[in-house]
Amino acid sequence: MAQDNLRIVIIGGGAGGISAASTAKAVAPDASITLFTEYEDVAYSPCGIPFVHGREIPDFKNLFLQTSEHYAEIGIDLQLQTKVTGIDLENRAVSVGSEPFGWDRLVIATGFEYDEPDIPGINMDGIHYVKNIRRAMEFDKVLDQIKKIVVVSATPIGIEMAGNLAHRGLETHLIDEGAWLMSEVADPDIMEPVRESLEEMGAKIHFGTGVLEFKGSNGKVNTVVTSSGEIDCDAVVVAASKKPNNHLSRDAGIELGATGGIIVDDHMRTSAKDVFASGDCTEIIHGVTDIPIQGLSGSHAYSQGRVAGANAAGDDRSYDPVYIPWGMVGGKVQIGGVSLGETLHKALGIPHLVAFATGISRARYYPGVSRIRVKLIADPETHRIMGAQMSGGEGIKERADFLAFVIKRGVTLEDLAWMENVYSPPIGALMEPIALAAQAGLAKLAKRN
Amino acid sequence: MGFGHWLRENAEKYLLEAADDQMISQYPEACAKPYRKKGVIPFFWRKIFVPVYLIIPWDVRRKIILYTSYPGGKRPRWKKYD
Repeated sequence: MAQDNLRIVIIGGGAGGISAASTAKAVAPDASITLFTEYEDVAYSPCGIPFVHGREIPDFKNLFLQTSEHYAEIGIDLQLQTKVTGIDLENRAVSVGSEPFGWDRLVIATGFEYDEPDIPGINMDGIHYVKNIRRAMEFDKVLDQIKKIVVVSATPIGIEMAGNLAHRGLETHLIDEGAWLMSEVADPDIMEPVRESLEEMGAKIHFGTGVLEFKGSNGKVNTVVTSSGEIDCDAVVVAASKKPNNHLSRDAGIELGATGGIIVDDHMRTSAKDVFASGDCTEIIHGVTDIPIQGLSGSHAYSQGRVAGANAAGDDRSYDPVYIPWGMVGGKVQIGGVSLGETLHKALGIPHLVAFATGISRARYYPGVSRIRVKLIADPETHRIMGAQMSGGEGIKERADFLAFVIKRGVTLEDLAWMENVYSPPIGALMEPIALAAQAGLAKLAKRN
Repeated sequence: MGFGHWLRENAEKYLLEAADDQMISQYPEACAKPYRKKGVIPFFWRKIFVPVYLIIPWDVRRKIILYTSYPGGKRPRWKKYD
């Protein structure tokens, strides 16, 4: 039930905050909605930044989805470049500068910050993080004037940056401590085609390499000292892991979980009355393991923001545990998956069966056909699908979306082995790679028994 | 950083390392030798915590993880599909 003269305050202008504001306005048109962001812009896609650097997208302007004027027109008070410095739960106010600003419902969408590595020289000029679009615009001008660049950490954003910077023609080095690319989330067999593709594009990949120090002159970086030697460079991109930006929430006494994210329930309610949260600052339940996790995608933040905004405005919406379909382009290869891969199942020690197959994306005679590797992870007792990882030339995103739904509904290897699928030479092969992987899984089980 | 956060951060790091070692032996052609920091603290996690963790059955371990995930072990309400 919407309350008269309801004052909703939102902290943060990313996907979680902006979707909360828009949804709250739609649910309670008469409510006063104020969104505070310390940055200059809202409603743009930070995920597109690497592709502008790589000149796949011509201009940063393309990344803006809405103008600030649009939000003013629909009655949302956007307070840009305005930092909230405190949350007072008792008096229901946020501090903006030295002034309190009252609320009846609060949505916290403060997003993430980078886990700054503890490396000597990390604060030198020329060391860049990918987050804010204005900083990216400035960095893009720097890229016009340099030749050699080092990307630290083969995280998803690190791989996208390395691929795009190599595509731009820079001598690009990608350094990572792991044994393969994206070793914290993806499996080595899935990532191998990405490594090959990046190297074909000219990127130099340094696996198993720790960064020991950044050195430079006049305060500007020009060398990265690693466990395998020194690499000269003109700039560095640090693609470190994300961590929740929760200083305000912690100081206010809002409960945080073991991930460092704000604990929320399925209505995106925090431990404080009438305070909701969404996006990278929260932790969300994983549908397969039941364990809280943190640091999901923009699409998750957007959906959570809609739920938080609707509930803050008086609606009754719930958010489901997540299965995390994901996908991206690494070099020129599409990779993706859902839930946990083989490595993470091993790390958690969850009993699992791995089944894989390599199929094709279209009829084998049709131009543009590409190989698709599908790896399914299933419960060895019930045969229910628990996770998947894939690589290929096309169609990975659609398969990841489908498999997320499959896992949520408790589908088994048997179901997938006998599934029906689209066959049309330009868009789908006679034998669906997912079905082939499931059949391989059943064959493996039959051998065991 | 609370105890739960500290435990999770370290457990994640070293359990992943152990899983990486298994994957390296399974897919040697796609892997390099990883860079690992040495010392007494990593030794404890690698040689004591990880083996002990991995002998506890998954269902029991999941309960421990959930208990240590929240202040007072109190899990907020979420839908469950089982």
